[in-house]
Amino acid sequence: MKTKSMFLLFAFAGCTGTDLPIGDTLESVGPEVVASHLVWVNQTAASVVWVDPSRDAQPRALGVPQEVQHVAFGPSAVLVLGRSGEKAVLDAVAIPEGDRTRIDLDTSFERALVSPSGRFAVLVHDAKRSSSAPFAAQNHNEIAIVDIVDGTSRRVSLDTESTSPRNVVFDPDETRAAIVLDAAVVVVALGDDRRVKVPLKLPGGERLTPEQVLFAPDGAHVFLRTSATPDVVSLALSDDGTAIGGSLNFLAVPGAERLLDLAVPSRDAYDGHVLAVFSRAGDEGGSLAARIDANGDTATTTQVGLDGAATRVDVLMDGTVLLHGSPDVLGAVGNPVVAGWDPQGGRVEEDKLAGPAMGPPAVGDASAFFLHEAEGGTATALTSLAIRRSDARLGVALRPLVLGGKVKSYASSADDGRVVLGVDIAREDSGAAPILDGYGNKFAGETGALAVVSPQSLEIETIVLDDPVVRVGVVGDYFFAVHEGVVGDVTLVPRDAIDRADALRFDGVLLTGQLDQGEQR
Amino acid sequence: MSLSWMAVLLLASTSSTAQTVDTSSMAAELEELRELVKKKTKPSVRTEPGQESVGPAPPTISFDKRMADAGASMGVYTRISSVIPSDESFAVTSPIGALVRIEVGAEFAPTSPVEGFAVQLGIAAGAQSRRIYDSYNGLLGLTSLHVSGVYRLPIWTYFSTYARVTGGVDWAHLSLREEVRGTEIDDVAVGFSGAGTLGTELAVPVGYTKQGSGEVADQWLGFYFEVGYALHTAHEFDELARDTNDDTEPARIRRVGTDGGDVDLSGVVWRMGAAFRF
Repeated sequence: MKTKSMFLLFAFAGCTGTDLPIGDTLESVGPEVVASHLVWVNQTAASVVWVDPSRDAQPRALGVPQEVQHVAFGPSAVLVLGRSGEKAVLDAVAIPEGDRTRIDLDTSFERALVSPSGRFAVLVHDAKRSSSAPFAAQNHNEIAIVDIVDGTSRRVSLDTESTSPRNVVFDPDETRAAIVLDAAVVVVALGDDRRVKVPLKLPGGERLTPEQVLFAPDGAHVFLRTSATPDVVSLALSDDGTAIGGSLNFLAVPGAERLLDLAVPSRDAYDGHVLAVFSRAGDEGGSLAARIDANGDTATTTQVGLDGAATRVDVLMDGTVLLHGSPDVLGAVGNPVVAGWDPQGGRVEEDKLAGPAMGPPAVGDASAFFLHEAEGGTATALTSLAIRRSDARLGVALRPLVLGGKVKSYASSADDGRVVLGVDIAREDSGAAPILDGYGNKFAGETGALAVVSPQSLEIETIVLDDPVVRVGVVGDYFFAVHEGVVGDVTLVPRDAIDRADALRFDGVLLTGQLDQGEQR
Repeated sequence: MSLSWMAVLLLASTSSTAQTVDTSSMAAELEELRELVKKKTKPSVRTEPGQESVGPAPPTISFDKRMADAGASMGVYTRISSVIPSDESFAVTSPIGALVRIEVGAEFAPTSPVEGFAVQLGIAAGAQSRRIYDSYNGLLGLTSLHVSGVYRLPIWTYFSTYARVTGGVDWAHLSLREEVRGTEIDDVAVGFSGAGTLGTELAVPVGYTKQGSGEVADQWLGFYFEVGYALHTAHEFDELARDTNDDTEPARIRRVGTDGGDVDLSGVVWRMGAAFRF
């Protein structure tokens, strides 16, 4: 009775209900770094929010009036793909200006992949995330190429036997994109209608499923790691101005059993060779690394065998190759192998880490950091790997560090090679401020800290934060630490002044402009 | 219409009729009628046994001019009010689209408790909350200190109609509290408001005081309802932040607030309540 009376009172009081989606679960993506800003997209409220770390300014927000289905972060803009009424739309929000460009699409797509410069985007279907849009039928073998600058979109039919694309990679010049499908690659020109379709089949007709695809830095080849062959599949591209041509080469390495990883050096260092790491036939736990000519010229192909099970290959800034991996990938046991390899000099040095790595290394100029859990789980071991190359020899130096607390996240800054680690430590006597909410011991539990490690000196700078950390990263001249919670709590620390006095904390970034939702719709 | 007015009309009509009939018999009838009128007005005049009522008939009902001249009165009131903002942003903290508040205050009427001008001073407070994003509790509270001028006009028996103009200062508090961790960010915005309403009131006498040989009503209980429109300046919650204490040891890392936007609470308003005037 009381409830009924209250309902009647409230019915008398005012209208009920709202179109605002605030009753839904908050779904967001971010933060990601766009144009040296930290950017989130509140998918539930359909708004883009960004923080300028270089100023003490408040976060800014811009509404994107659509039902958000997918978000892609480019170098200078955020692409928001979704539906506005019956229409499929793509909104490009420039950061930090906040200018929104709407591009109407002829049909809906579920994913957007942005070119490295941000000029183009390729929209593809995703069978796993079929949209609920009222489009009766979709051709999953169709993509859309969007020119973000011009605000135009055009549909391209791929005409393959495959379903929706698995991935898209852009050539460094951003004139072409390789659309990777289940058993085919379609290379399309971004600026015109030319394209070439290359089925991925072995000579016997067996279909090849791509697992990794790289564009060569010069754009002349596409390298593929596929499911059914240990060979590196090299798709050589030709372009006479009127048509794009493509031919497949299968680059085999003697003794290779399974292709595990591919890498290409930077554009400056690229000389027509792709780097690959394989498991070795007949040697459980052993591996092979090879530098393979993209056109199959065996005279310039070099390879080296490793006793340990390398599963990953990275190319350092100076051209040295770092090989590493987890033995369990190959079903072996033991600690991960690390090796430095100078392919042209033919020198290699191999070592092993003290324990299993927590994830891929943070790779710097001529160094890398591996993280592994220390015994007891209350500390984190950090192994600094430095590859020292001289005319006479190549050496791998492993230097262990132990950090109190448990590392939750880590990242490296590309320009100076420093690694930032987000660590949770006991709040008591840590230097952190007392807990803001709650009762009892205001210094109970844990708080977060950032530890910044220099690659050469291994000097460690630390700053204790006021809340635990879930993720760290680098944005422009700042380190950032994302704290627990769903509405975007983040602390920014200048990279050249790692202390609490210069740090800045933002709370509830995703709530920016929430009261203005009605005006934005 | 009151019994007094009925008596006056009856007397008038009787007087005009008397010109065509025997005046002596009419005089007797008139005297009887006067006695009847005196009896009719009896319910609002309490005469002590053995005493004669003297002077004019005391006021008994709200529109009686003599009663309205009774002088200044004070009063207190309590009421429930609700504003129905047209700004959709209000929905962030209200699932019902209305902000319901409790109001209390005092009144001063310089001439009559039931007629003419009165001024009221009071406070209003209320809050609305809703669960947002499936994990936060949003709470918007609005407290106002307001002054209003009321002009009452008797219409029938104990009923009167009135117009009210209100002005006030508002303190709005928005808080967003995460349910799991208990963390809260909030902000306070100050603004101004004004409202114009029309209403009707039923005011009944509940207390009497001696006046001469009788008693007059000097305590009134009013029940009223009014509706109108309220204008609020937009409340800007542009510094949503954790409620930190800067004096902690160690000190906290400097914080930047979040601009949550603004909400305009202008909209249709209604009030209903009770007043006791004396």
